[in-house]
This record gives sequence, C-alpha cells and structure tokens, in this order.
Amino acid sequence: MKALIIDDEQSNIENIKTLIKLYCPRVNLVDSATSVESATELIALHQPDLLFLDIRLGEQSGFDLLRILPNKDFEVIFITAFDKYGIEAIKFAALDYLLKPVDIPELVLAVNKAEDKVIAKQKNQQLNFLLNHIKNGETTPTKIALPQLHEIRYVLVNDIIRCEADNSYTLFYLANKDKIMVSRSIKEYSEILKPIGFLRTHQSHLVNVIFVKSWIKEDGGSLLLNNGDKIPVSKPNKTAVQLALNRDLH
Amino acid sequence: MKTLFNIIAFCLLSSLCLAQKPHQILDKDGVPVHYSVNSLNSKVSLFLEADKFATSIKPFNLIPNDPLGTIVYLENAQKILVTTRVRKDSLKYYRYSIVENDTNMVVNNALLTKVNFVWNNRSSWPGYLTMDLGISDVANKKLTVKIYRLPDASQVTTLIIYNKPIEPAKILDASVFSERKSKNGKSTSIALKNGSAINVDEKTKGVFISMKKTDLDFVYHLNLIHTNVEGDNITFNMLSNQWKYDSSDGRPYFVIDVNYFNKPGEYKIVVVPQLGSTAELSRMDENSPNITFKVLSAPRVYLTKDLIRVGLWLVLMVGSVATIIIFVIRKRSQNRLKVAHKKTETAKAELDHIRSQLNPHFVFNSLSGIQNLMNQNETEKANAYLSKFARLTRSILNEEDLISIQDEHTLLDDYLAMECLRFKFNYEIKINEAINFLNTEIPTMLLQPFVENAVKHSMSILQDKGSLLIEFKSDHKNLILSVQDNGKGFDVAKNAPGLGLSLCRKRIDLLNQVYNECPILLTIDSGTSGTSVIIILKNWL
Repeated sequence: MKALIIDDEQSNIENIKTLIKLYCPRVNLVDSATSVESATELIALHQPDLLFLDIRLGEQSGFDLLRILPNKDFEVIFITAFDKYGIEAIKFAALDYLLKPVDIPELVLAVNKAEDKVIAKQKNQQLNFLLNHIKNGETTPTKIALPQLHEIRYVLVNDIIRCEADNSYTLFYLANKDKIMVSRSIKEYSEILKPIGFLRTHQSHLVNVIFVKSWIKEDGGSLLLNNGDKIPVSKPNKTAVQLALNRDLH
Repeated sequence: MKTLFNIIAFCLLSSLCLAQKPHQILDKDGVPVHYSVNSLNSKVSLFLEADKFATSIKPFNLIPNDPLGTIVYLENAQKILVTTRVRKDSLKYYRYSIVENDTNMVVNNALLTKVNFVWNNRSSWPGYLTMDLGISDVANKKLTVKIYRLPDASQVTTLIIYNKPIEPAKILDASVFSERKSKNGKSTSIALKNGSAINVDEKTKGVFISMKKTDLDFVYHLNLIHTNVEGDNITFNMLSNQWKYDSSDGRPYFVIDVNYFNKPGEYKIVVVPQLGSTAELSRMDENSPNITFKVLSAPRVYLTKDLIRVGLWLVLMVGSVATIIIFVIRKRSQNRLKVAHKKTETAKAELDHIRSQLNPHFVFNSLSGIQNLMNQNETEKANAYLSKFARLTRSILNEEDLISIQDEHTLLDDYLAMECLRFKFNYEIKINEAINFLNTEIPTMLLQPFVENAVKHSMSILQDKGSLLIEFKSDHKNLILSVQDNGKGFDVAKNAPGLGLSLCRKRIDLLNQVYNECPILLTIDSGTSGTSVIIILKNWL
C-alpha cells in the first residue's frame, strides 16, 4: 500500500515515518510533503493509496488540498493536534483521524481499516461528503454519514427524530419511520449532535429538539415527541434538558 | 502466506457479491440502498437489497401479534438479495424456511449454505459470515421467510416480503345489529347498504362489516368518517386493522362499537390498504370501497338546545376563571424556574473554575513520570505513557462536565498506570456488572483528587506493599463510587492542608446545586489501617 505523509512540520513527518516503519510494515511510504502545492504534485506523481494528512498546513488546510484534487482514489487518515471544528466535520463524515501525539494502537487500527477499504476498492465518497460539509458554510452540517455494514447512509440531521443506545450500538429513528442501526456508541453521536440542538435526556436517549412537542411531568419527567414517542428524562439530565427547552421553545 | 490467502479469498468473494447484484438501487448520493429488515426484538439479523426496478421500498412494518415479525413492501422489484449475518461457529444452528405466495414451500427447515461475505479479523464483525438466503426472483410474489437458531426453535423471526400490487378491498356485507329481548332472544341485524338510514337506541350494539379474504388482511384498515347533520363538521376515526375471522367461511370481519355512532348525521366506513405510516392515507379517495349510511337519532347524547346553551355558559365561566388561575400559577413557577436556572448557571461557572484549578497537580506529576522513562531509554513505554498523558490532558481541556463511566475508568487507569511508574504499588478498578458503564455519565474526575491523595500520601510510602481499590457499584437507583487504600490514614476532622479536601467538598456542593434532584454525598473514613472515600450519587441511575 503506497502512502504519502503531508504535514507542515518536518519533525511530525519524521515521527510518523518512524512509527509506520516499526508498526505498519505493509505500508510503503513513498514520499512526504509540507505544503498543499508540493502535495498536489506528489499525489499526481505517485498515485498513493493512503494519505496521512494534517488538518493544518500553514495558512492552508488539509481540506483545501482535498478540494483541489480532481480524483480522490485514496484513503485518508487525518492527523491533528487540537482542532475542534475539523474533528467535528470528520466525525460527521464518519472518517478516521488520529490525535497528536499519535497513539500506536490507534495508528495500527486506522491503517488496518484503510487497508481493508483499499483492498475492497470502495469508492471514497466520504471525502466528497466531508468537503461539501465544510463548503456549506461553517454553520451546522445538514447531513451526517452513518456507517452501515456494506455502505454508508447519508442522512439529513433534521430528519433524525432521536437516537437510542443499545449497548455499544446506536439506533437512529428517522422522520420517514426508517430505523438505522449503527455500530458506534451513543456517546460519539451525543458529542457531535449536542452542539446542534440534540438533547441527551437519558443515558440511552438523544433527542432532536425540533421534534419535541411537550414536557410531560409524570414519573419524574419525560418528553413527548411529534411522532408520539415518549422519551424518559433521567434525573441527572433534567435540569440541562429544561434549560435547553426553555431556550428553544420560548 | 495466510494474509495473502485471505486477501485472495476476500477479492474473490467481493467480486462474487458484485456479480450477484448488477442492478442495485442507488439513492441520490449514489449509495446502494441496503435495509436492515429484522424486527428490533429479534436476535437474528436480516438485510435486504433490491434491484433498480423497485420503485418503492418500505421496510420495518410490524406484523400484528408477532413481536419477531416484520414486513417489507416492495413495488415492481425483480430481483432481491436477502442476507443474514451469523457467527461462523454457530452457523450450523440456524434453520430457515421460505414459503412463496402462502402455498409453495420453497425451502424447508434448511441450513444456511451460501456465503455472501466473510468478515475478516480486522473488520467490524470479526468471525462473522454474511449468508445469502438464496432468494432472488421476487417479481409479483409474496415471500414469507422464517428463521430461527437452535435450540430456540420457538423464537422464530419472520420476514414477509410483499412485492405485489395491493388491490382495493372488497366489502362483502355490513349490518347493524341490536339486542332485543323479544321473540327468540337472539340479536337481530339489519343489512346496511349505501344510503341506508338507521335509528340508534339503547339496544343497538354496533355495526358489523366483513370483507373478502386477501393474502395480507392486516394491511386493510377500517376508517370511519362522520359528517354532522348541518354538514359543517367532519370527524375522522382510524379504527383498526385487526380483523376477526368468521368460523364458518373464514372471511375477515370487524364489529364497530355503537359508541362510534352516537351522533346523528352521515357515516362513511372506508376500508383502505395502509402501508406502514399514517402518512400513507393518501390511498383513500372518493372511490375507495365504502359503506355510507345515515343515523337519524341518537338518544344516548340527547340534550335540548337550552341545556346546551346553559352548559356552554357554565363551561365558559369556569374556563375563564381556570385560565386566570393557571396563568398566575404559571407566571409564578416560571419566575421560580428562572431564579433556579440562574443559580444553576452560576454554580456551573464556578464549577468550571474549580476544574481548571485541579490541573497543575495532574500535569506536572505526569510529565515527570514520562521524563523518567525517556532518561532510561524506554522508548516504547514512553510512547505508551505519552498517549496516556495526552488523553488525560485532553480530557481536562475538554469543557464537557459529564463523562461516561467507561471513559472515567480509562482516565483513572491511565493516571494510575503512570503513577505506578514512580511507586510500584498495586491497584484495581472494578465496575459492577449491573452498571451500564458505556452509556451512564457522571461528573468528570469526581474521584481523581481522592485517588491522587491516596497515591501521594499512601502509595508513595508503601510502594509495592501499597494497594488501592477503586469501585463503581450500583444500589437500586444510586451509584456508589469508592476509593480505598491501606495507608496510615489521616485525621478527617482536621482540615488537613495540601489534601485539597475543601476544594472537593466545594465542588460537590456546587454539583448538588446543579443536579438538585440527585444529591451527591461524600463520606471519608480514615484510620490507621487505611482510608476509604465513598461518594454516593443518589437517584443517578
């Protein structure tokens, strides 16, 4: 598997090189670049299968690089030190990322996953989806990628009525009555959906505030949704839910 | 060599899969449409893909009285692929059957034999196989799939795939029946035809309606539309799709209770197929099969116009007084809520402040541990501990005030592993199995200061004789966190400086203002044989 490292700091490139040589021997590092321009040339030259791509590249970003490239026939593992906005966009696209300093087991896992995708020759639609997100203004994303067994479903965030945890799985209830099961925990979706108007009402429930019809007082409190579902609000979450509802409904 | 074989097998299999579904439907993002179609209560997974000829797919419709059953409505599909994902080693326990159009048994209690996809060890389902149920041609068919896993032969998961046009219902007959004591004591019934006019009185029991049997009776719903005498008020009732069956000829029938006919005016009983959601009501129109008749009188709700007028006035007066009272009460409680919220927000701000005060302890202790590893040339270890340190720092920088028990466990473990580098003590973190540790959230780093104290004042002295036990337990609705060490203890009554106890107490006070319905209680018990800190989060679970 041919790979390129793109990072604006030479020391980071050296570090990734060392770790990959030691722990991911099947990855063949063909070259590295420190800017968007040189990366564009090298990608055209080498046609890599995998990019290790830093989100911040000097004045530009890894997303800028992806935007220029006409064909994206490669997998990307994003690398970042601390970039809340970038990580959020990546999570919405259900793509992989690593945090600096790189954790070795996480690196190996991400490389293995990328290798699976390269072998399966899956078309990388997630990258286009990611770029669309970022292009559509830096406000709230309109769609979210939900990884399924053989494919990725792209769902409008405003079509998600609620999510329910089933151990390490999350079940999405959509406005068209579809249900989608995703093998990720509700915690991950709580993190990215809470900032755009979802309420964590309970350890197992995440609710889109636009579908909340009313607050029901019985048995300690629950939310009635437009589709008739009644969602429990647990005691620890009660104050936060009430605060959020007061903000949104009044 | 094994890897190479895996890759070849994988390529072969994936090309086989591709060959089997040449006409997949793609949604507007160009992604194949792949549906999970088993009932949520079922332990057997079922997936369905249809070809591009399918003009409509409606998955996830319930089958009445079968919690493990679902039905998928398809329109115009030619070929489909139905798969199930099973563990490789339990493959031999699965049995399945397929019945075509309710009569033709295509597969009878067979084993799953056709592999569609092999999940390798690095995939999300290591050790699993996706098995093809061998269904292909569905043009104009109803297929019923039954699958179960031995030894639970009674837990049968049912999937009905209905790919036929749904015909309009055929109403066979309708009648009003009453219980009259006269004559032979039997109930009497009068046939209802379009345009009939009937009287409803105390003896009237209800309206009986039957339709022609279909291969999917429960898709037909009964609806009742009432228009009042003046013609200016129309009410709509969705009744049921739970038909009963006539014991002699098996035709589906339903009895609508007389209470639905307690107002005079025109009644229209409409029988229409309704797929899935109520949004599908568009299938009802002027020409939908119906019986329309008039109810002339309805004594049960008989009231004079005067009575109505008086009643209306009364209702209006009581209503307006009630409205004023409710308004005042609401205004008051709103104010109270506002004050409470303000208090909560101040408490939250102070909490953030305290959290950031906990930082330095943490950061510098950890850094010196890593420095030590670097100086001893233990690169691999330094890497691992650096990752731990990064996780800890990130969690402190994170503004979230709640964290899942699992993540809190990871952080405590990271922290203790790091401290173990310096003082070689023993520690254990236990989580009671009854706790949903993945999804239950608690205030971040509640135990951290106490764990730090135990390390600083006991483990550092006891070294390899030191032992530290952290437990997460549940007791009914309460969550109990505890830290126990075997150190020499300290005087709890004295506000010992350097322990940060006052800070911890203040934090818990503030948390109690935010989570006022689930108070957090702190108990510290310290003696010469050790210290135990217990934090109870009441009503937390």
